[in-house]
Amino acid sequence: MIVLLLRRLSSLLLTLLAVSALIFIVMDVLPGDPAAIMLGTSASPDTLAALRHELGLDQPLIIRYALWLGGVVTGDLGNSYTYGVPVAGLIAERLAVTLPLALFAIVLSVAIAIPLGVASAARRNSAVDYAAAFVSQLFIAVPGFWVGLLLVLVFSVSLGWMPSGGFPGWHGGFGSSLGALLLPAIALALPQAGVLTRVTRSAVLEVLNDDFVRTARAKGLPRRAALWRHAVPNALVPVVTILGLQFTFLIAGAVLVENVFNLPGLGRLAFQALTQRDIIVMQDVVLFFAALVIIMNFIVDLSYLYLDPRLRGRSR
Amino acid sequence: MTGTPLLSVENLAVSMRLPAGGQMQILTDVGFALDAGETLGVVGESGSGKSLLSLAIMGLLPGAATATGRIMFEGRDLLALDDDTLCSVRGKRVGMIFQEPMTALNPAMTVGDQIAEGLVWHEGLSWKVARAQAVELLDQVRIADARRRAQTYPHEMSGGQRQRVGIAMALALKPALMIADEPTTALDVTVQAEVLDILDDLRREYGMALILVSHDLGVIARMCARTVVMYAGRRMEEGPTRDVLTLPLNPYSRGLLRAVPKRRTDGGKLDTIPGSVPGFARLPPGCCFSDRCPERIADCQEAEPAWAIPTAGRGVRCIRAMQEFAR
Repeated sequence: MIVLLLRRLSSLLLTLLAVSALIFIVMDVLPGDPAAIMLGTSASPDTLAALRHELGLDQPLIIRYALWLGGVVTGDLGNSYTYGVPVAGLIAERLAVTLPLALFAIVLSVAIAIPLGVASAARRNSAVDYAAAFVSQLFIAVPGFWVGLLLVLVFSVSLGWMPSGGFPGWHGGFGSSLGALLLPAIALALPQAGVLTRVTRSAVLEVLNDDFVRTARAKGLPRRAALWRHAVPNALVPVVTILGLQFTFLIAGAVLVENVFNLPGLGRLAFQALTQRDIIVMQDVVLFFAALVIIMNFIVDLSYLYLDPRLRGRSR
Repeated sequence: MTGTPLLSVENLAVSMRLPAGGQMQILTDVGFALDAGETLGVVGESGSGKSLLSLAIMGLLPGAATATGRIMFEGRDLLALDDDTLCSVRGKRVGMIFQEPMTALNPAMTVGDQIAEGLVWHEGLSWKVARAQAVELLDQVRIADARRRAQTYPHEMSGGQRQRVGIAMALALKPALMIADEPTTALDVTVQAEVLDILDDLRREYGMALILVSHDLGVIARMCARTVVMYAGRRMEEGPTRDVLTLPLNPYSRGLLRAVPKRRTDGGKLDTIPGSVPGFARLPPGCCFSDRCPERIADCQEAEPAWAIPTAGRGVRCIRAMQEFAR
């Protein structure tokens, strides 16, 4: 078990290293000189060269990469070219919006998908099943940012129940902050819930045919208890796998949805940094996203050990 | 037999709805009675409907199956009960041991919890108390170091140990009736004997009735006082196990007996029953065994022979057997 953990952990670090190199190279090939963008078109070549030197842009690629990576490892993510403040602070500030948003969306998606998927598996080919199939198909087919626009139109513009966007900040009150995240979280969650419902349904259907579910019934457990206590726990491995994969899409989706709802999150930060060629911010944010995804996969792998005791045995 | 039997199956028929539409009858006119503490073997080839019979008694038939007739157990017709009431019978009054110890246990739950679950459910025990009882039950099915083993998962046990866990689960609430569906078929021969011993000892200790479903006449002979021979979803013969094995009335039972491997010195070939169990859609006219029966006469394919009682305690479905008996 310990050996397995160490092995997974070291492969996690190697992946991160590879990703960081990739990100750095891609950013370097990206057209547009940050110094030129910062100074505008009228800058003299001398000032430009001075700024390039100050930013360290005149050094060879490998040195710049080593300096950046060294900074990242020691927690110094550098200063933003446009804002002039430490990137670490920027990310922390934006993360306070994006992370709750992502978690909120995951919770919503699980809260919709698990009951719906289990119910449609338990009552296969019933009205519930067909309704769930229709709803999940609809969720999958409609893109999240469009759902966001629709939600704004209905709940903010027409009904006036919800703010149409913006974020008061957590110091402005927990309730109002959560309220500001509700519509964007729904917009993010629905497409995820659609996929997750279908995965849950097929996973539970498969397990329901297993002998041990019949054994549970033979013990005198009602259908419901056999379903939730025996079938569902054994159907969770594929569900968690998809949930982990969805986390990636959630972060990609956050970029769009944060723009629709005008939320000061990481997605917007990345988008703004891209338009302003704030390369250091881009590098850091993309690396941060990559790290989140890789860590999420690690957590998913760990959860398998919890969900399926047979895997624990094999790793010993 | 005095008073009402513990279990009495009368006129049981089970048919399956086919995916292509239509119904196919699997069990036909099955009936037997079992007193408290009595043992009954149900023997037949694969595909003779034995497992479906045990599932019908448990009320756990697959969704596509419908059962008619009566299954009277402790004064109630199990076929007429709703699922909630059946849940109070299953596990508590009737316990079941399944064939495949590899798949019949939940891979994600410790064996102790799987045994304790029934106690928590039916008796309302706390998990703590129920787990302690589960350890005792594991001890009773002769699992060494029961306290530690209770916390292991099924994949960490051998097939024989898992099947003992299956017995402990079925035994947990000391049911009046135990149904064992091919309990040792998936096990090695040496392990088989051990598991049967445990089952027999516990049955005696708690005075449980036992229905043992098996294709193995040896297992039935060892465990059961009475035996029903089934073929194509019908009972072909019933009687005290000794009589059925020594003086079989039905040619099908004789065929089964001849097909049991014995120690031979002349290197003789093992007898088999020619052909295989025909699908339920392709049964011959008249007697269901008539297309494979070595003693068939023209009358056999005229009409399905009725269940007949040639002498007290025995029953047979065969016109030839009845003719012989009349002589």
